[in-house]
Amino acid sequence: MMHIHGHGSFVGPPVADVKAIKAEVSRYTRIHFRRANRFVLIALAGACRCVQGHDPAPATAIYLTTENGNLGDTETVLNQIFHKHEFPMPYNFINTMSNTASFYVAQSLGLPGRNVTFSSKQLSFERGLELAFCDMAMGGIQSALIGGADEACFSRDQFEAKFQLPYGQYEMVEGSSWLLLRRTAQGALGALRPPATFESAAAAAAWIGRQALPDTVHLSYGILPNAADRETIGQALADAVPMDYIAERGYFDSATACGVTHFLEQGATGCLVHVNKDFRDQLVLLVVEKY
Amino acid sequence: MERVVQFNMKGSLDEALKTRIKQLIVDNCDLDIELSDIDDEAPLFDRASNLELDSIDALQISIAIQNTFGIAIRDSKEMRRVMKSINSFADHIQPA
Amino acid sequence: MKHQVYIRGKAVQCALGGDPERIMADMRQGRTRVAETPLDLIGLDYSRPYCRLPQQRVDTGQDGATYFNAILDDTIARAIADAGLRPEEVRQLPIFFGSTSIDIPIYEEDYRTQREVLSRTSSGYGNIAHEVGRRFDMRGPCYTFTTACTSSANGLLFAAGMIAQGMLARALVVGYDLYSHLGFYGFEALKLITPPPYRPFDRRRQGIIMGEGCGAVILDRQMPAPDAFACLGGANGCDTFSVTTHDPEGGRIAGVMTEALANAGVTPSRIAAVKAHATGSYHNDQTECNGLRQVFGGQMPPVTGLKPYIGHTVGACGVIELVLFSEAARNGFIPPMAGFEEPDEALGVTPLTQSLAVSGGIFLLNYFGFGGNCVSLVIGNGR
Repeated sequence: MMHIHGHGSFVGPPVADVKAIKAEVSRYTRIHFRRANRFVLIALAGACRCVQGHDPAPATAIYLTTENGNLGDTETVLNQIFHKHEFPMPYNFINTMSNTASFYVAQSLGLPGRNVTFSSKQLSFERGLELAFCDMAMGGIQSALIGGADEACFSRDQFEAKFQLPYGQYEMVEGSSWLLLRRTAQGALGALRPPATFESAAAAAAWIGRQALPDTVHLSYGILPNAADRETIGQALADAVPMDYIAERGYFDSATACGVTHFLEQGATGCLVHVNKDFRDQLVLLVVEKY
Repeated sequence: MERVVQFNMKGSLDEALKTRIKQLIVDNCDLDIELSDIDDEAPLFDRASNLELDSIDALQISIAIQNTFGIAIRDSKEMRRVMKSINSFADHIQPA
Repeated sequence: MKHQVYIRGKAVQCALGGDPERIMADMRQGRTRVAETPLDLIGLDYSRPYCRLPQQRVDTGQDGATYFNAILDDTIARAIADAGLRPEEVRQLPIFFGSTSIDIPIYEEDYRTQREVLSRTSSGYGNIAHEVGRRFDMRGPCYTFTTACTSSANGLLFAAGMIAQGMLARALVVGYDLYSHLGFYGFEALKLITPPPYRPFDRRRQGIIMGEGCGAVILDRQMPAPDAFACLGGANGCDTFSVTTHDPEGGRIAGVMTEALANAGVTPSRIAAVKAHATGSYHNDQTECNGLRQVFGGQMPPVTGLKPYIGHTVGACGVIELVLFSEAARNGFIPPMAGFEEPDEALGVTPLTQSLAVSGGIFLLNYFGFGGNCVSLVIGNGR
């Protein structure tokens, strides 16, 4: 069990000029991010909101989960080499490595501990949580900052080819959502159970039936679980309150992280069961309790 | 006539060239500073400099110079010598 | 619930090829394979060295994706065969993947005629691992690490951690970086690439020679052979000094090495040899040696590096150098730092100039990267 001590989110429609995000970040940190690009800034904005007022210990681990990372600068550098026939600009090249974002989070918050940039397609946030659970179980890590960050998807063709879903049905957003987790329950506002993986919705529903859950259960889905999955799992949680955070907040590839912080921001109590799925038909359930 | 004189002018005496270099530094390093606040003689990478530039900025500027003027700075020793100040920079790009 | 974690199977493909016996023979002879690589894409008239694979895409006539997957799948298949995994063990395998360039080499050729290929076709950092899972019918979870030059070292660290904790029975860990123009031109833009000779830790070192390759290991709770290597522990930390360089004083990386030793439950005096990250860049070598001296003081164990043999394989070096180092040790030797001639007083560390005979022991492996990332692993085999 990992306990939730803070949460923060910076998610919204993409802005044309990143100056607005720089202004947001500079409210929380005095470091001047001349070299920060869009991806770095959206990661930072959410992380800064999450830790505000919490004063995380220097040994706090950072896990930045993302599906696409620094796509913008990678395109810029390839364009510099292949079309302008010039050397890549160092700022752009350095930012093609997506861990520059988790670096800037560490630098601006003064956290020189464990630092990882991590990905697992649609399950990036859930699998990232497994890494955090492992580190805390080993005993070396007492607190962790874990977030999901992604830029918005602007390509209708790519989105529709990838998800087989109508692009126009979703509002495309960008940003990051973060949790501050600690081993200790003292002062916590909630808790996370280890993510559970299943090969079918029926197996997931059976597992739900064996769990001790609070009286009020909120139920949410990632983008990939289909109507059949939802029906099977819905039957196992017949009294659950639906929470469609993708409709309320918009879609980006770090949606799970946004769903969890969205639940924590609401007045509702009880627990959230979040159901997600990847392209290999693995289902992963996340149970988030709010005290 | 004037054109010929300018063409042969030592870079550190060429105000137009120096303005171009300053603009290139400000643009490529995303600096929030007026061009007139950059001293021609002051060390560019000094800790006390108002520009607060570091080694990554030096690389950024050297590639910008290469892409703009076609002048390659191959190693870091040469880079430190060339980028001492705006004047030394201008003299490197446009020797007398 | 702490389990031992062993290297049950392994395979590599690098500049010295993929045959373990030939690689060991080449390393004993100090042989390497460096190809001068032109910078003609941007109209420059000079070239830089690069440690390329013996067989290139143009030799195979394959398209970018086919060539990319062929090297990856061949290396993984050989690691599985080396481990002797049963089909049901393969089916349950989780995949840990680490890379700097991920799928960029697949798409680069298309950029000669098109734009924004990645934005239109690439499907996220996690895609390569997921596709491996599909092709090999591995149903375990996928974990992809993108922490620059420590990427696959982090894959090893977390895979070993999850097995030790009993969260997994075994795991496939892959490090893979093929040549990419993005990486090659990018490193040259940062003035990091040296002309030959490549000589990390030497007073006259001038930088890095990059390399390409793939490494795969199967980590398992079961001891496969009495001289098999175990992952005893490790650590990861972030040096927040600068996005490209670690604090030259070496304090943070010394901290990570110390944490790794403590995590493995060994004192510095028990380390039989260190595989340094040793990139040959002015800053890395200075920082690493300062860190090593803080950890080991006057009792410096023998120190070596493997990049002179196969180049700096960036995100793949975590797994590739683990395989080469542990195989050399099982064959009774620690290879010297090839190319090294003149000690640098400022470093205060003189690496091995001749092979060191060993029979088992505990070793420290260092990996550092952009974004301040530091990983140290402790491995050992007992006899």
